[in-house]
Amino acid sequence: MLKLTIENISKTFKDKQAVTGFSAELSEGVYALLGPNGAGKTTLMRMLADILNPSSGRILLDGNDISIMGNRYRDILGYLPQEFGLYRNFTAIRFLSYFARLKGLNKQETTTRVDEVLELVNLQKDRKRKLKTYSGGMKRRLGIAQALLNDPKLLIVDEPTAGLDPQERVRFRNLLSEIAGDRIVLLSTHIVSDIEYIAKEVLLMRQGTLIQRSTSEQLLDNVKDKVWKCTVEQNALSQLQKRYKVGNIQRAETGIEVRIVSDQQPLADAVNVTPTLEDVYLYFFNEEVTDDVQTGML
Amino acid sequence: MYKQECYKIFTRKSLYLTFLLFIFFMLLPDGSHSIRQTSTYQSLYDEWRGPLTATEIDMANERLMKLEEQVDREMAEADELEGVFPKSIEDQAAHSVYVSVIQAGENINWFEARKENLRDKAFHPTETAYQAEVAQMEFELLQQLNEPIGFYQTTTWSSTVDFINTLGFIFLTVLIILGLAPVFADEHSQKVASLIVSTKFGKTKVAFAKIFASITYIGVLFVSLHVINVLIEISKFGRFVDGTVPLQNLYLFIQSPFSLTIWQYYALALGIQLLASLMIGLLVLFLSIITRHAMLTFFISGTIIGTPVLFRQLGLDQQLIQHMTQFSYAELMRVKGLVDQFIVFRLLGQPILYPYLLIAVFLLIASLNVLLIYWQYRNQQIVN
Repeated sequence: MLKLTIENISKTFKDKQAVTGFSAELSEGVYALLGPNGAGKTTLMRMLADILNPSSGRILLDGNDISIMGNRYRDILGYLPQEFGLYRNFTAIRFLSYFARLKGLNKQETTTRVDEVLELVNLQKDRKRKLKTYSGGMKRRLGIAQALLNDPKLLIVDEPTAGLDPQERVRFRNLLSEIAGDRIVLLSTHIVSDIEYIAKEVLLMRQGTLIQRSTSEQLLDNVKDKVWKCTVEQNALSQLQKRYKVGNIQRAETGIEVRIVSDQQPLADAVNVTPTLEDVYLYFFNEEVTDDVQTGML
Repeated sequence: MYKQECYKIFTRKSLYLTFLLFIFFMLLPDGSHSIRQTSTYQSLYDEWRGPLTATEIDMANERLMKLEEQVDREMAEADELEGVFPKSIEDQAAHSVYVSVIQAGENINWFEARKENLRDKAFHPTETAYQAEVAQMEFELLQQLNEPIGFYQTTTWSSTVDFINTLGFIFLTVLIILGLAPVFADEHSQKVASLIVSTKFGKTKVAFAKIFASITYIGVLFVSLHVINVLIEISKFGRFVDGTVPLQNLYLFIQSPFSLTIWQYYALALGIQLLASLMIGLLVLFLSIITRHAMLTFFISGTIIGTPVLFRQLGLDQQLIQHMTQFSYAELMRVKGLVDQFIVFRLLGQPILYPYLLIAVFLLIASLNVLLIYWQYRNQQIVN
């Protein structure tokens, strides 16, 4: 059984501490890395992808230091960064073939595997188009395809669904569920719904540190009895937003239906509701759920 | 991997546009070979071609005097005050041959005097033992030349050889920098570096694939540019003749101490320029890795290569600047400076010929460059 051990790693850029003493042990399954912007998720993922050296600490795969494993580690790795570019003059086939060779696939394996991943991300019919004509969503799907080329045992994907439409997002979620069986998948996202049903565990990160590691159920349990729903007048909304962590706001016939995360009952007519991971996010990070999160709830 | 790296380089439109612009410059007319096509030139060429005797040189002097008298007379009769050259193309051809023969005669005298002077310095030394050794070295090289200077038709060769140290040097350098500056830098500006570096061979083999693709680009560029130049030279000045005569018959190489025929020098110069192109390529690749910015690489490479040329143009002759110029990428790329004079450097008390030392130094720099490229690439960190 594959085991990735992150041993007290830190990363400092000049005066800024991006990651501080992060430790975790991951075995096969999907892990979600959740945290606000600037939490250090991307830096952590870069270190795990062996493109950035930690300032201190070690990363071990089955007990072997990845900095010593080098090629052998990257051979089982699939990585999709948050921001990446493509060669404008390449077609999808050329692009994937190039990466297949970089990942050590031979000519025959390259042909077969490129076809397979193009099918997986639904780009078969656009495979001969120049990448400069691709939309943002298509580019991201191609990025996902390149990460899967070598059938990686360790898949690290940083905000993989950003820019994907809801249908593509569902497709990607299902794809991750399908392939997660015998590999480690580490996924960072702002979109809580991406991980709600597929993550084995959620790792919450804030200011470079791991603040909590639990299953989705345990996280939801943390905020049980702390999520409230009530209906208020339009003019009371801004006051409410100042005093509480307000989540979903929905217009209803009787006023505005508001979802609030609070230790105490915020209003007399507020009723306890079943929490979601979005509420967990709001509870831990004390900030409004981003547009992406809300879109993710659609 | 190598094929795709080549594809990345060869699909840049800007390279083709620049190349075409340079070809346009090469096509601009800068001479004519109509004089050499006249019957007068051909008969005089047949008569005097080869090493010259004192009688032939005297004859050329006499005929030139007569021709100039004739030109003066014609000018007086026509009451013309301007113009010192003959009017008819046949007379112009004769004038050109006489002047060339007389000039060659002066060069022969100068060459013999130089040998005598060196013989004195080498075998009756009045200065240090090292200086006597240097003089003997030069003398022995000149001895191998026998009678190098004569009357030959070298215009096409001269122009072709000159291309190497003038336009050829400039065009190749610009196209190499333009083509290779983005090789590593663009992976960062296009945000593909993180994808590449996280792959199995993304820190190792890909660096070599990029180096080999760059070498391929330089090779293709080099061959294309020189083949096109040869064709243009032939169309401008006619076919190549007298390539088997000593190099000293080319005006720029009168002082050269090396025993080479013109075509041997041309082949050698092409070889050295190709080597220099590869070395410049490695420099650009290294800068491309460390700056991660194609434009910055372009300017830094341009400055490193262009500064010694600028010093030379400004006529700065302080010893340090002279050494900087002599041991520069530009000087290696131009080739001419390696061969056109006798220059030695003292190394461990022994005189070492400048071209050998220069090539040795740059081979060392190039090996170091390859190691640095690999090391830098392997250890690069992707932070954004």
